[in-house]
Amino acid sequence: MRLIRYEFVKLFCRRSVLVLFALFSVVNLVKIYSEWDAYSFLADGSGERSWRTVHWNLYDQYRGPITPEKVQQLLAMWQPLAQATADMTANTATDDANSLTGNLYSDRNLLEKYFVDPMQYCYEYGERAASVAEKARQNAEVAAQVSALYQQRESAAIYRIYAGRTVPEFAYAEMANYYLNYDFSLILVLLLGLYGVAGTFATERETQMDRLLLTNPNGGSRTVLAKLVAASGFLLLVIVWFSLLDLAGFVAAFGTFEGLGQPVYAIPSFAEAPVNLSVFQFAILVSALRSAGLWAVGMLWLAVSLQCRNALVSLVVNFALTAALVVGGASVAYSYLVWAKVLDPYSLLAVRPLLSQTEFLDIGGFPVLSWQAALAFSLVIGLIAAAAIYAFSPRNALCPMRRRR
Amino acid sequence: MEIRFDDVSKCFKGEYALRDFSATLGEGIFGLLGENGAGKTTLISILVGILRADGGTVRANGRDVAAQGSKFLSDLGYMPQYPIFYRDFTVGDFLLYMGALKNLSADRAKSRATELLATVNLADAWNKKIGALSGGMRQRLGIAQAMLSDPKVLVLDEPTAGLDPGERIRFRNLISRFAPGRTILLATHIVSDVECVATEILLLRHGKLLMQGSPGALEQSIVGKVWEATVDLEESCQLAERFRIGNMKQEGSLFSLRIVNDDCPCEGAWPVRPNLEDVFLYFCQDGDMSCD
Repeated sequence: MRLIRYEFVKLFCRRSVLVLFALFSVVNLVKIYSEWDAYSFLADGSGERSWRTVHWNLYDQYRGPITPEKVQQLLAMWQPLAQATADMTANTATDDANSLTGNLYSDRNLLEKYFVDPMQYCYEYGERAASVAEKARQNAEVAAQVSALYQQRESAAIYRIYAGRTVPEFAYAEMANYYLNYDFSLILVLLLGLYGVAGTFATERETQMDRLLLTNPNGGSRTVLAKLVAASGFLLLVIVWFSLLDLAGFVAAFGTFEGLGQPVYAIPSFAEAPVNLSVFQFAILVSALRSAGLWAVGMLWLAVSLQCRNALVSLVVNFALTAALVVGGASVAYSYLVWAKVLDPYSLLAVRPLLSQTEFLDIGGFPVLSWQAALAFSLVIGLIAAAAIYAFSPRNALCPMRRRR
Repeated sequence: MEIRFDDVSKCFKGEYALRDFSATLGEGIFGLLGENGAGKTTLISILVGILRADGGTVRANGRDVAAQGSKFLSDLGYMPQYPIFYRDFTVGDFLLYMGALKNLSADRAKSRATELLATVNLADAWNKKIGALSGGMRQRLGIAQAMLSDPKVLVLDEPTAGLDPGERIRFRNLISRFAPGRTILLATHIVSDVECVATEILLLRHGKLLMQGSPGALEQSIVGKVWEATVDLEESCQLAERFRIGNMKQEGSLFSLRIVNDDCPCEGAWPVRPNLEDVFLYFCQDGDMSCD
């Protein structure tokens, strides 16, 4: 434990890493605030007739279970407005006393964007999911008849995922939508992780400290193991920190926790999500998958670092490796090349390509969800890289398990 | 502890860096003297296990060090050439880290580190970042980390490289303080580093041991081969081309030369008492001299 602690302090409590950590955290928060400020219609101040004020006043009336009364009440307010503004002849005054926001068009837009469309989506989702489940059930039956075992299993899996899906409650989903679709922190995580980890072994060589380490009883394989654990801990810390920061940033910027308890498929871009989790649970799953992805990439970084004599070379080579993984992952993200997606650890970091659609991989005749396969492959890649580092790291020639230098 | 090398050899790309090296080191300070590339670091690397010898054995108290494994490493303190250590570590944290590497308990490492820092005159540097230390302070920290586990064998690779004369003297004295009861192997190409403190000198050239003995014995071996002469500029240039010059000092319009040669180099030259630098020059500074 002491070795792991010292390795952690030595490698990651460097001033440059800490400065980068703090800087990236601030940049991330600024970026989140700018997302809110640039894209949310509710970022228009707190005046009495601002969208923000009007929205939250109305929201209290419609939040919670979707009931026919609420639907009727909403339609009663929205339909006259929609009719009045349909032919673009309604009053365009911006201080209309009969409107909520001062303008009829603005009222209609507010109601459509934040209440009518989202509530309609929630209301209809159950039916759509039931239709998918029913089609899957029928496909399974047909597949069974023609003895297409894999198709039968896949359809059965789709049925199990979609059967019984409903969105019974209406909630403000804008924050959750932006939060789940936010990728900027991923770049920061990659850069910070890369900077922290890339020099782990190369720096020891560059400063010739590897020679000194090797001459100590615990300086060989135990130190390598301590480095692997410390690096894993650092990468986990980076992911957890930025995941929390993302959540805290979005909650603070949007000023609400609303929507975190909704099923993730209540967010339209995750309508076909292969998991039945709440947004908050989904965010935890995303963090866990990203941790696994970053760990796998981190082990590859360490393996490269072990081969380099110079920390800068290690950083450059690892940067190129990361860029290749990112470009590769991005180019197949929304394609049907599921295998390519699954084999690239970057897919687990980006996550959305894996979790925004239900897709399977045929492994031994069994349908495995792409995110589960990607998780398994990343863990295998990481473990192989870690084992290779352990096996091929220099050892003292006087100690057992030595290797020829 | 007695360290015994028997016919130790090491090749790099077909070239011998060390060839049939045999020597025995008991307690005391052993100066490993040789030019750059003579094989000093190779020999040290084999002793501390960084390199594996291609042939021969190294024994500690009669047992092969390879068979002793980490037990031998526990008895070993090593200070590498040009130690940079970790710039962002404080001196205290670095020594505690080295304590963990040497399998010392946290308490033992702390008390030993405190004690050693006082000995090497760095008592006030516990919370200083290593990056803020001067070269001399870093070398002293290097010897403190090497001494942390109270080793029986201390190996120092070019420990005074880059130090100013004051720090060099301070460092030499420090080594002498640590010498009792230990085997200290000090590799250097700077004669004055070992001249005053070494019990024995091992003269290494082209990977082969040329001589081993006390500084006095080595000096004795070239008695009658060191000369001084006072000549003018022109003759001094001629002598410099023909002989190995240990020193050249201007005295008015003339030059006083110290010449190492088997025979009297010129008319008017007189024999003088050799020193270790002359020995080094006699054995090591002849590019044409073969060691085979």
